[in-house]
Amino acid sequence: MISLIFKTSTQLFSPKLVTQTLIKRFYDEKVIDHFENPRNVGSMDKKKKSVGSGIVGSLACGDVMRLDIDVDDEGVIKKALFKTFGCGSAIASSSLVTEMVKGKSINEAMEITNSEIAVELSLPPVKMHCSMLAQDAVRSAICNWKEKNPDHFCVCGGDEQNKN
Amino acid sequence: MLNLFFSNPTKNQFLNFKGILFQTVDPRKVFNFQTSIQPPSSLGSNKYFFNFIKQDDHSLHHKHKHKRKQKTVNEPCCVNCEERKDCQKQECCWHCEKELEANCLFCIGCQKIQPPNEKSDYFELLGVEKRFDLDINKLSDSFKNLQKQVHPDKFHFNGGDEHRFSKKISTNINRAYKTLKKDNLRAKYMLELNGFSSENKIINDPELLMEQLEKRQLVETGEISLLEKLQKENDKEKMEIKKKLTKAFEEKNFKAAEDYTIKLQYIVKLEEQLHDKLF
Repeated sequence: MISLIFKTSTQLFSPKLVTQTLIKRFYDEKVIDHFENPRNVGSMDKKKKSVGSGIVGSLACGDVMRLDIDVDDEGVIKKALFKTFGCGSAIASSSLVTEMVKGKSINEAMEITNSEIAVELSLPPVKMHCSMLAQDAVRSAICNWKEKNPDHFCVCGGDEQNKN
Repeated sequence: MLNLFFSNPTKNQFLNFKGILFQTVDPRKVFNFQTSIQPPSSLGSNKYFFNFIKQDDHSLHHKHKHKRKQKTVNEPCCVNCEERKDCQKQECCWHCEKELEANCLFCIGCQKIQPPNEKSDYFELLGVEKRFDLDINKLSDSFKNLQKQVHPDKFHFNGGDEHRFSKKISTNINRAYKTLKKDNLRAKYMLELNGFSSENKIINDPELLMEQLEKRQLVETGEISLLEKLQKENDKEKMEIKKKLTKAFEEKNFKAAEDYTIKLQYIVKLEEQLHDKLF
């Protein structure tokens, strides 16, 4: 960081360097990374039986978050896509959640909490509602899938017994 | 002889300027004496100030400056406290120990600024009716009038306590004005006053949210003609929702008001996005 400051004057006053240093002060690097290179953007066909689609919004800031999950026959999430309209922290939270949810079973995905997301992205207290939104988006998508596949899995515990 | 105030005063010097003799005076030696004792609302035209200069006080001549001890306001206050055991300190003026009116900023007796009343809500603070359909012009007028009376710049020389009180009152007034100025924030605040907090509230209405998602996608990618059409529709919806909200708050139907507030929040957000895109 100090070595960057002592470079030549042309580089010193370049806008990119200034914005980089400013951004580092206010946003975590991971949030910037997820914002500039978001993973798994898109949406799936809601009519498919293996697809669960959840859409949530927050009253605090008027953001909208949509999360689609593709679940295979064993109840493991193969793929997840998201679409979010909101601030950088909301986009980063939903992008992170799509990565966290891949490869997990339905039960494990239900247990993802907003504090895991917030700790991973080092969210400040003002942006905690963004992680709450991401958590609820996952749960809403899982509930939607459960409605389409009621006789597949029991989420509240005995998953081995009720397996078809 | 006229008196002039300088920022770095020298003691009792005479200035000859165009044949007129001016005397420089240390502002610390001067106090204002107000002749008319009237409530603060009629300030402005009826205020008369007479400046009196104290006799030379040798304490002010010292080379090293003493820091004045700040008076604390935690001392037991008043005659009323002796008479009534349940008297609260807020009710008595800290300076003249006279009983205060409810929600007043200045004491009627000595006109000193009082500590901020933490129980009053934003409507009482700005002196407007507790309704959703406020007159924004009245709101901004009362805000400006209040800030003219309590701005900290006016209390800079009045001592530590008064300056502190004025700072707190001024920030409270600023916060109240920002909240009540905007429709969505005002609606949320009114819900909070009646026990419906909106913190961490997640909305699960799929129809409303899908509609909003599609509209926002349109704003990002659509043409200008489409966007102008969308803006007109949005403004219409906003007018309707505001009418419904005023009715709901009057009838104290807070559940319905909550639903309408959610819709209003999304309408306002869309409006901001359209405004950014079109201008």
